[in-house]
Amino acid sequence: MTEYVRNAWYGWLDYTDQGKLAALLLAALLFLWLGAKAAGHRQRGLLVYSTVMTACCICPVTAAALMWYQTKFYDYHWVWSLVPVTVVIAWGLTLVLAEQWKDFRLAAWRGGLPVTLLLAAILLLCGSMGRQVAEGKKERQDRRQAAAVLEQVSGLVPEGGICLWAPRKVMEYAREVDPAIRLFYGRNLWEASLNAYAYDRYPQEMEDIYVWMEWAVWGVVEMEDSRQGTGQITGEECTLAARGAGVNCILLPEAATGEVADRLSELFGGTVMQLEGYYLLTNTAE
Amino acid sequence: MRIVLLAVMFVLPVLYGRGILGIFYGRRQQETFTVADCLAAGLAVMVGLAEVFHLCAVFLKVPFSRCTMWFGEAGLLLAGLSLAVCICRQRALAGGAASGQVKRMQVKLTGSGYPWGKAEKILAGIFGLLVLSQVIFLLAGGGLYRQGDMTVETVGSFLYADQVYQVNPLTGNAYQGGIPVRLKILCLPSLYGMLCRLFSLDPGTVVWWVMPLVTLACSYGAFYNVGRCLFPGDRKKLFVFLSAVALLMWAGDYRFGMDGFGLLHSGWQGVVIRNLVLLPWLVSLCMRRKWMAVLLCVAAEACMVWTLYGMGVCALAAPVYGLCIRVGDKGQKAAGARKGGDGL
Repeated sequence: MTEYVRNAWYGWLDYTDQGKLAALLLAALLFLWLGAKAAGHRQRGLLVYSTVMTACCICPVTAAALMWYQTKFYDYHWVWSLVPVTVVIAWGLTLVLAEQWKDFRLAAWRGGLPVTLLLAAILLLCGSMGRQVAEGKKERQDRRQAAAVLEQVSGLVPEGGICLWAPRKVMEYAREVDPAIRLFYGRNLWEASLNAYAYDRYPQEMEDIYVWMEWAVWGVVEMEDSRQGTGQITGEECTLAARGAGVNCILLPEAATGEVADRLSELFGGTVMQLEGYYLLTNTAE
Repeated sequence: MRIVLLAVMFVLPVLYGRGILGIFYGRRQQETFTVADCLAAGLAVMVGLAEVFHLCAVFLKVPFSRCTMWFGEAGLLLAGLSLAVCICRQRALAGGAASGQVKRMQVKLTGSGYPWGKAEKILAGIFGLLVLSQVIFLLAGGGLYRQGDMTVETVGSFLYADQVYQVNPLTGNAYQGGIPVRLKILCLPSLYGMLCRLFSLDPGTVVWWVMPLVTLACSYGAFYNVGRCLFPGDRKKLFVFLSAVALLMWAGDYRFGMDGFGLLHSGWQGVVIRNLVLLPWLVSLCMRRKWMAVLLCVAAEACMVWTLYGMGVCALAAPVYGLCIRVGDKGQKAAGARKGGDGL
């Protein structure tokens, strides 16, 4: 329970840290309570509910209870689903504007327009102001590039049944682009939050293999077992592990050099082809 | 095909919604519900329908393609039944003594009988422009948020394997430890998969293109209902309220979990549909004291979102809201009595 309470408190700090809509909500509630006498029974019910729920979400003890109720699957910020934040702020704004515009008469623009612009500015300043928060151009470009590479791989291995090991840049989008492609490891290896959807866990060795491949993107590849005792995995070990797990296609970044590709291909027991930006190692015999 | 699906996702829920609200509330009260009410109720019904066939696929191991076929047939059957219910209600109502009374009630609630003034047209235009900007943003694929989400991979794996949750969607390999049962019974990936198969669309199109637009429409429908309850018969305030909501959506896209973020970046997720469609609609239902329809919200949430044994946000919000209404009413009565006392 102590942990829940601590999470609730830090959650609230984090919630108010990034944007200021929570502050706007409190201001709206205060404004609505000041004019509550004029409110009808419908509005009063909403006002009481919003106030109670807001208090419950801010107070660490009640917030912790709500977090328990919504299961451990969700973070603190989801308890705010219980508060109609958008409704309350919009309601408050509407009443302020109705007062300033004298019930929205166009003739009252001298008083109404500056207040409207000011409120709109405050509202937008509470947000991200156009800062990129989700997938941007780069991700879209990465997806397109991955799709193009995967199309080539599918074309070169027509029998299907591809089990792929590739850099993250390709693996990230592989299952979205073509659900027929199986992967050596999935997106949940580098995106821990996805582990909540299954009980499957990766061994430490798999993380080392992932790191080896990501280093290969920069041309840093450790092939020989020259660092014994350092705990670092070698290219040979990775390739053998991949082969053992049923991988039949490896996309090795071009930066890893042809020499490395040939050496891995020998171990992998298949052929090596050059694609745009990658060496494709295939072993469809197994 | 995506346009056809989009049209179907508006027409069918409205039909289902009309039918279910007609069954819940009878012919007189049904007429006081708006198209927006029907859209939200119909979406809940559609989710319920998908849940039935999803459970068939999960527990009876029925192939996904067969479940899709059944879902399609059941959907059409339900649409036919809803249409029949609507026609029967309409006929019973037309010319009846209740007709005038219902119309008066509608006018009082929506202000629909009054002509549109200049200010109202301007305010509606501002709201329309704000929504249009969001629609354009979504159509342009203006920023998907995939972190912690694997819906497209899950839908793809259902379609490819023709089975539900037999392989790990992130790798395509068989599960080693399995997945939590509570998660297994959530039906949204199956619903999207069924829509993909029925309309020959790829998972990315349905999940990232169609669903955010459906959520956007249903969400503004739900907020429209809240606005109607807050400002009954006042179209100007209603549109200012809706414009403020639209502006808040733009402003609130700064972090995951905010309404604006959900609407603009991850409109296909269960929690987003819950927060932006079910909860505002629930608020409007509670304000109108339509408690039966609240059950639809609770059930739909249990089918879409990982909740505590089905007791989700809607199941908690509705009773608390009911309690708050009582408190609010008592407070108002006490204030009224004091006022009366002062007068004496």
